[in-house]
Amino acid sequence: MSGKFRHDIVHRWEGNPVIALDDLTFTTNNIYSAAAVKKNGEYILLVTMEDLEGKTSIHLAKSEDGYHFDVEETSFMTSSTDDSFRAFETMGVREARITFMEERYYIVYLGVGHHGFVLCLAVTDDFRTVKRLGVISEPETKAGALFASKINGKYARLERPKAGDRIWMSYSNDLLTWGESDVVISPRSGFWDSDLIGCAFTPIEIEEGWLLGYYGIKNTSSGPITRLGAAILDRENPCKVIARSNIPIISPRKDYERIGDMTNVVMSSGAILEEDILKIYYAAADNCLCLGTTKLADIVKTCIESTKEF
Amino acid sequence: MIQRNPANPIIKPEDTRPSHNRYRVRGTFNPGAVKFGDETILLLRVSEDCLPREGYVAVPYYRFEAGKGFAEILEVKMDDPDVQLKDTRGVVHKGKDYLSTISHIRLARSRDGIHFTVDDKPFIYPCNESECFGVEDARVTKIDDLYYINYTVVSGDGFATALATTQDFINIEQKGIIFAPQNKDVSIFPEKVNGKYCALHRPNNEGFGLPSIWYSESPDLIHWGNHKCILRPRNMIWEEMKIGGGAAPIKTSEGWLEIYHGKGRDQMYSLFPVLLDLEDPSVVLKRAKEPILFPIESYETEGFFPNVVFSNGIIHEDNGRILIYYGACDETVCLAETSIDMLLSIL
Repeated sequence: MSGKFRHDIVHRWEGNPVIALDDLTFTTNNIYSAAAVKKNGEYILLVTMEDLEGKTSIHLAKSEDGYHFDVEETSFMTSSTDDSFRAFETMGVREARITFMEERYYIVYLGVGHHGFVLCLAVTDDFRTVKRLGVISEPETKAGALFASKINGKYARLERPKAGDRIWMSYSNDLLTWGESDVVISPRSGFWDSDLIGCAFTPIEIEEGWLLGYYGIKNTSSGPITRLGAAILDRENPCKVIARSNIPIISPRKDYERIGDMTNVVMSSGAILEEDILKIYYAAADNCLCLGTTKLADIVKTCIESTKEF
Repeated sequence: MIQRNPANPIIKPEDTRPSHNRYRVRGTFNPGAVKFGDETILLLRVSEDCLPREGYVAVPYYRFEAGKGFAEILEVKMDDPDVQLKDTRGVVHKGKDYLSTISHIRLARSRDGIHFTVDDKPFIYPCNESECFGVEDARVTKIDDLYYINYTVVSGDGFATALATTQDFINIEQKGIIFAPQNKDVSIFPEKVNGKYCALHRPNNEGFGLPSIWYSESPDLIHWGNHKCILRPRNMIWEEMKIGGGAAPIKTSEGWLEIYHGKGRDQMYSLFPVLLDLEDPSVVLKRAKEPILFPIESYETEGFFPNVVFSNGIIHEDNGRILIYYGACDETVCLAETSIDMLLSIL
């Protein structure tokens, strides 16, 4: 990587990775992305890990400063043995996204089971016990995230049906039954996000609307490259895209982002906004968890100054 | 056990006017069916392509404006550098996909349930980008005094299921997508069970077994959840590829009776009855071991897409008579008759 130009809007923390396999007190095969939230001044991550068998589970990590985390060995969520969930989670649970709403922490996660990938919903108040609420999508659906407030009186979520490789949204009155599905934003031919996109971190409500962080994939002859991008969605109707960055906010460049079980991946499912600074926790190469920071204003500016290519 | 009507096929493409003067009707098939007043109404799927012209490729498409769809034709010279011919199913023009055949929903009406007159105008016509490749396979469920119509919307994302309502089969209210891609073969139950609306649906769990029949519940028919996989294809030639639900389930003394389709070896479609628990329709009580209908007659084995019998429209009468309207070969409408007692006796 050349030091001459600044390529990414997101600055990598010089201490990256935040969580590496060698930092753990237990053996695991892989570290995937993490949900992130700040609760009473404490940073909490729900990190997906793949064990040596190939099953995924979600582990809790805590930090006082957002940089140095203690990862719990006992998983926070693992395949359910409950009759209502068992078939949907036989191969694991993964990719949690946290939404703080109505004074509770809702977790949308992916169940991987006999029937493929489904979105499931759980809730916690204290990050010690967690209650599963339901399977909230049909297969094959990934990258689910709840909006933090109701939109036009209804709960709303983002999702990515496998077919079409684009981001959709649905509405609900009760968080368990969903409908009114529609397309939000699509891959752009000829761009870095030409082949597949999905929601990255939980949408953040900002002055201009909803900040959508998303991952975009471009297939190349040496494999896919996964980068992070951003867009701003209308507050009342998120299917209306107000602005979208033409360039990624971060791309795999460092060795730890390029080398791993999945090469050339930066992928996030958790970010924390502190004043005007956005802390983005991102998985690198399906190998470790990293931190990147940027000013919210810089992302917004990049979106708004991009030509209208939705 | 089941009698085909001697007048089969009862509706053919030539009985139907195209929706554009240069379109050609290729199929009138897979009808939803409902009794309305003293009429039987079928909601036909009408598939259309374009009349070909020497040296040109012509494909139909819909242009959308202000929430309405308009029939258009893309016509380009065979040797146009902007056109790539795919297979018989479509072309790519300037990087955009076009299908050679696209569908909408049309009504057909009858006093005797056998002789139908097809409306000249479409009933449900594609109206937005999620329907750019057409609308297909309508199913009707009457709940209280409202008719709920679900149908498959087709686009570059594949297929999803949308809902609409009508009271009079003239005016229609669109309710949007109720099952996001890929999901079709949705059968809505005619009444609530344990305080919830229920439906069968068929997501595409590609890569994790074969497409199967699922069960869902809803408080309002718009928002759906509590998804469960209840019927998987069996290891038999009839269900080798996938299965999917048909018309709205029928309430009988022994359970909910559903006639579903199996897609089997050599892409042959056949119909099977299954019985679901009255109190908990996610519980399968009995499932036929043999199909009650499979392609035998020439109108079922030879046509636009051979060896297909597909039903999404059933009328059941108070005396237990069951009229199965079915599409044959993605081309015509046929009718077969049986009874609830007969179907229960073979289960």
